[in-house]
Amino acid sequence: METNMATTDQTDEAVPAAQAPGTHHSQFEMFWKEFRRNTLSLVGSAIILTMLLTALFAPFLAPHDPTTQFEAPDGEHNPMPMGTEMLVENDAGEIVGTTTAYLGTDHHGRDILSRIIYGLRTLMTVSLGVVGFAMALGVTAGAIAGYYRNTWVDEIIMRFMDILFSFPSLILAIAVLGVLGVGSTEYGSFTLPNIVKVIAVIGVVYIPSFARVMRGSVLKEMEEDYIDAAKSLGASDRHILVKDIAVNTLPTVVVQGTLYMGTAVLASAALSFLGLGIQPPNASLGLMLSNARGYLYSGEWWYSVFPGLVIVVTILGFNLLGDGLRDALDPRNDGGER
Amino acid sequence: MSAEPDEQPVLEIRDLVTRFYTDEGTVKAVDGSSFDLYEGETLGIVGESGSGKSVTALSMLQLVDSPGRIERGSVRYRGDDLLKKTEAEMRSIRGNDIAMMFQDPMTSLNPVFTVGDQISRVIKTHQDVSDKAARERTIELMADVGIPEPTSRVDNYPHQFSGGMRQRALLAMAISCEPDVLIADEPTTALDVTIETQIFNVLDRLQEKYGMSIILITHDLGVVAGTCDRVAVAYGGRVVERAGVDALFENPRHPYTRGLMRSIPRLTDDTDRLTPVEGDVPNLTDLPSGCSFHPRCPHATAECESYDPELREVEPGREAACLHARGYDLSPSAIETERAEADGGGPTAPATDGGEPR
Repeated sequence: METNMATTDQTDEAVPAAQAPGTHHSQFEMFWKEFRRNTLSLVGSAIILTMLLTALFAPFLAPHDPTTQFEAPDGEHNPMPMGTEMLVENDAGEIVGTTTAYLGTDHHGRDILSRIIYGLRTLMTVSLGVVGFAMALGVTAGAIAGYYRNTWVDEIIMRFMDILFSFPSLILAIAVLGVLGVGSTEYGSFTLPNIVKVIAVIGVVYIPSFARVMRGSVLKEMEEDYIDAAKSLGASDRHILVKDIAVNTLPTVVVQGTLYMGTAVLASAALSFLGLGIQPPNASLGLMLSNARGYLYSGEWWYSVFPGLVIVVTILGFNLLGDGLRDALDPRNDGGER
Repeated sequence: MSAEPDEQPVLEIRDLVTRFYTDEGTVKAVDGSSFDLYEGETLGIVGESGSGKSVTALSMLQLVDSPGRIERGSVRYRGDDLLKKTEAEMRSIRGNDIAMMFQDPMTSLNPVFTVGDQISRVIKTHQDVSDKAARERTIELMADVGIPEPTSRVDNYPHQFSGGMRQRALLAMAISCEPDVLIADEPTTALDVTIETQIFNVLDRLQEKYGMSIILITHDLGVVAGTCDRVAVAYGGRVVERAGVDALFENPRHPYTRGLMRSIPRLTDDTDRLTPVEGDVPNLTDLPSGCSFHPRCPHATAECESYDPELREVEPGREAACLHARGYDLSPSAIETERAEADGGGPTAPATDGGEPR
């Protein structure tokens, strides 16, 4: 904080001639300086980066196909414990060798490590989809409401958001999926993929949060003198909204989005756990947990612990990253006390 | 005594009324303001905080935000009434023909864009030029307003500029399309006196170079004396006196102007106390009946409580809105007498903080 204050003072007070010309401190550099000071946010970013890369390169990282069912060697049964040498069969059903199940297998003899990697891919896709969907709609609605504040446009948008906000997220998702049915839905020649449906039903209840945050930031921005200054020099509404306001509210939206990623991960895992999300045989961490439940008492702990751990670490990562971003992007932090 | 120029004014504001409809009542921020701006001159609009100066400026450009509304009046720019223009037409006028410069240089620039970006954006809004040409013009403008090393400063962010430099950058933005009229709303209030002088020197030079007419909104009579050709004194949302700057300082005709003059510290006076204008700025939601200055006016009579005086010519080239407007005596003995009369209440903060008129 103190170093920062000193820099700000310097740039503010220095006589122009004394300032080194061409020294750029872009907004990003200032953000990065602030961000990297916090170890926890770096840990968070490392976690999220790892998770995202794993999800992206799942086919190359997973040792096995997530749906291959291996045979247990003599003396073992499914789910096989960690380190078991599983039997590999060829198409004709003859045993041609063995391969190690590093994290054990599930009750169908499928490799847990591979299923976790693919499950993470699904989870990330759904969560990013949920936040992206809610953010796109929420930010647009909030920006319009904020710009036309205290008019009927604002009123209609925000009251509709209040209605959406009053739905408990999982209950709404369960109800909608109950009506539409789980799995892909066909409407004539058009097929609505299951994953899109899952994203939409989870995402819809997050729209109001983004709308409210965005509306608040826009209202705050609208009070800024530079908006008046831009208007007085002929800038149009659309230009101001898209350029000045969008750029200045971006940090808030990014922080909100990152923090909501954690919530979205939890919600999509929960929906899968209830059997309403991703359908088997697709790998899903929530579904794995749901299936593994019955094996906890019989001592096959690896089946539930590893998928659970990945969910927990992912959510933790998003929250650490989100907190770090918020601290680094908070304008109150970069000038010291005023 | 400077007589009004004969030619058509660039801007002709007549009976402008702007009101804000708030929960606490209707605020009559501008209540029948009238004044003219002539080619190449600098018109000062002076008044206390809350006298409707800034709202007048915003109304001229139709920039009054809800819950404010321009109720009536006309703002003729070269004969065209701006209040009848559409928003799209106004956008092409703002910045291009009439530009405005705001009070606080610290907050009037967008922190996330470079200063150069923000200046060239104004140019590109009004002119069909390439990015490169806009950038070159920006650098020229920055040199014009006295920003050193403009070729490297053009890529600086506002936080890398000092207050004075930012105000220069705002000035560069305002004059980037060579407007006919520049409205400067308290351009130096946030700056210290040395920087203030520099800014006014730059303004002066640019006014000559581009042939602009300037409306200078200020509460500082010292600034007015130093920079303006003519002055409009605002009180309670309207103009109460219009005169050439010399005439006004020599012989103020409205009791309010006279009060303002007396509240300026004078180097030639041997006195310990300033004489403030007694009382407070009227509440714009509930203006006094009749002449809105009468509760504070030492010359008020019974008629002043009911009769609302209009701006009337009191002698060629100057007008005052006062029933009793007459030639006031500004000789030291007359001031002494008036001070003694007014010495009832304790002195409050002076309404203006102007220096000795230059």
